[in-house]
Amino acid sequence: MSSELQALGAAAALAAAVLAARCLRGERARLLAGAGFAGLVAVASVWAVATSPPHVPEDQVASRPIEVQAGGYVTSSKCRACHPHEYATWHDSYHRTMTRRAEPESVLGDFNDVRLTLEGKQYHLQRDGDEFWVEMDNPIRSIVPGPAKVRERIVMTTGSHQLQAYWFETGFTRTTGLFPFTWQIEEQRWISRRSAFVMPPSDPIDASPGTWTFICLKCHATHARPRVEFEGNTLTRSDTHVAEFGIACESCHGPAANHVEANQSPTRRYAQSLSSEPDPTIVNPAHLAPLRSTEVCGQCHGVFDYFVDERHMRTWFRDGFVYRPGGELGKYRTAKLTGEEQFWPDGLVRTAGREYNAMLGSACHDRGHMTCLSCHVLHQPVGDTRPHRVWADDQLRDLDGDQTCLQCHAKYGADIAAHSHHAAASEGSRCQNCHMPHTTYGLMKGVRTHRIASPTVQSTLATGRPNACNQCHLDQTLAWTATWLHAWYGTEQPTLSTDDRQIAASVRWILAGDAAQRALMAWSLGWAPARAASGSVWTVPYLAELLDDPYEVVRLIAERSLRTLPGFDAFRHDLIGPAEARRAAKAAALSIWQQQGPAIGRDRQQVLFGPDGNLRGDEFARLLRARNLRLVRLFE
Amino acid sequence: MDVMERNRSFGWWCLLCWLTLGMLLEAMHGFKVGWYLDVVNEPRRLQLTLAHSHGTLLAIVNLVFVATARAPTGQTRSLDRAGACLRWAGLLMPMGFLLGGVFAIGPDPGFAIALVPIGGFLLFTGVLLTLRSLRASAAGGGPVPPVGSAKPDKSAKQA
Repeated sequence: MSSELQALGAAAALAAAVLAARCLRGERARLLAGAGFAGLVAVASVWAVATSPPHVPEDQVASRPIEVQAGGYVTSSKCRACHPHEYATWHDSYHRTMTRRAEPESVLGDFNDVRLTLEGKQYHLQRDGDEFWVEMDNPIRSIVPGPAKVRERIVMTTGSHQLQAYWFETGFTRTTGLFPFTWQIEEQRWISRRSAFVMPPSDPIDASPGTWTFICLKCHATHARPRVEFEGNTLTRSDTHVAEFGIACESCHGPAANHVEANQSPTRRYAQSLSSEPDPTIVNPAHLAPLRSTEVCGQCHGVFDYFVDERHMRTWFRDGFVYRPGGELGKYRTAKLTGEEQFWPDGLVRTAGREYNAMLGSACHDRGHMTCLSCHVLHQPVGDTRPHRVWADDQLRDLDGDQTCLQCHAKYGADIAAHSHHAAASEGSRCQNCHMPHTTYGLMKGVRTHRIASPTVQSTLATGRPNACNQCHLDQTLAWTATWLHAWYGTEQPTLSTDDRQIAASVRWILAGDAAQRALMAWSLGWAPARAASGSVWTVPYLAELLDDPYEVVRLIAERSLRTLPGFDAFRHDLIGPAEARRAAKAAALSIWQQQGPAIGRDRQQVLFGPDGNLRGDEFARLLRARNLRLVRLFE
Repeated sequence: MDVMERNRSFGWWCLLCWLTLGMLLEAMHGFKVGWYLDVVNEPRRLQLTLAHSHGTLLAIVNLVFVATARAPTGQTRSLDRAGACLRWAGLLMPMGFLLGGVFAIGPDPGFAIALVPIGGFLLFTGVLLTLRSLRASAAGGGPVPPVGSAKPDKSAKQA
């Protein structure tokens, strides 16, 4: 726009000069008009150059990782000419914007003189022209001597869908630091990192340097090379290079230099167009064998045990990952199927973004050749009329939810109600609601597990993982679920405790579960199908209780679920405020609820309401005392 | 019909056709026709735009030829060939782009794009032959044929 205005201004000045020259009489006057115009142009040019920010070539940027092509990677700019549709749909995706340089186009957070406080530390966010700055305690003072307070420039961003995190320059080679606050995009507010991830309140969060270079770059950039050096365990230098920021074409299709070179020849291109064989110079995950195809996504959407010996480590530090799409992932790392933090006790991954690990145990994948591309489509197809944002949300095929399953399980399509025992049009008849419940946690919500299985009470008893029935029928007990599963599908009846028979499973997870179970339940209480099946009036005291949860993220999710209820749409509380503020928020929520004169109705003993309609405080307190207080960290 | 008359007629007809295509393309913009505007059809859009621009420009080249070409008296063979080359170029180049765009194969134009280099060669030849004729004419080879006539007129003789 400004260039357009400048061009218009120059044209107007030229027109004025021509008019003056025509009107003026005498050679001298015309010369003066010409000189005036030339002077005006010169002044405008100098002003434009002086005020425009200096352009620093990428290879001269010293304060952050830089883009350098190597190893046959050529970047998405090369793909665009021949694959405009694929380029455009990738451009619409959140994969592209996973990592970006911090620029006005990429920074979504509010940096307009914002002051934030976290654990007694002050952060002052400022915008200076096209640059974004944070003034804070010196984050690397313990490593490199320096002033107590520093003003650091934000140089990179991570994410653009739900959250956006920010990286500041540290002045220590190309090492960046992670700003402890995250911008919550939907609600347009700053939240601490503890509000975004399941982290114990005792875990310190600070402006910490270094993690991008070691952790995030593995998947948030294309062909990342850490290029770090150590003396002992001390990082002495990082000269991190990536082929391209964000997850670009070559993350999935492999390095494209040979493909680009081969297809310079028009005869080859025409021959390839007429051939039914895929182009051997590039990897197309859609043409790979099912396991190889899943591995392409799995390289990032998985948790792995890496082969860590000295040789592998040296290679990784220098050149990044050796795996290339189409290759055998298992040669370089093995999918993890156990672990305290990210797994349910039976080895099923419980954090989102790790779908590969869950897929590996699914019969649909292991025996049925299902791949990620059976349900997802990475380039929105021509003719798909959904808005780009809708498709980009989870990049699913434009199929009715059941159709993705009925591609293989067609026999259930004719009479779905006979199989589901729910009304055909209801949420209870949607394949994914029963076979892919939201038992994975990520991005402040429940996310569908990619372990495709049938619900059983046995697995819930063994692992503590909610089953699909009780995650929707929040007001029902495990005994109720076991009875119906036995009646409908002949599932064996498990041995159940008194609480299993008398108290709704959700209530027990909310009050006595661990932080991850509480986070899932806080989300489930706001899930529309669950509210329709279970009612919502009785849920307010439970959501109010979760507003005072020790984990920030549980409080945040509870607040969001609460806002979906009538009368709570404007409800907000201070997520990182003191305990008194949290208790006040809980009291405020209960007060609104009581003013509404809630009609709990009869037969609500399972959710701890007595026949008089009052909450049974003794049982409520008993379950609270039994709460699982183990520290939970879910690294997404 | 002599060469000048042919090229004049050809030029104006071509101008009419390719301007019509231009209006059609603008209408497709106006009505946001996906066949032309969708990103997946970007190669087609490029080819059709090239067809419009080349067709229009080559129509004008033919008209400029009629207005400016000269040849010595009795030596109009070169000029005849130049006119034919320019007419064929004006047909083949834009038609190559047009058909290549309509029948695009993925990111590449359809096979009709092969007409474009042939047309390009004819255009080059036509311009070269025109220059030769002009040079011969300027060297005093004879009178200048007026626009629309292969025969020198009186005024040319007097000149």
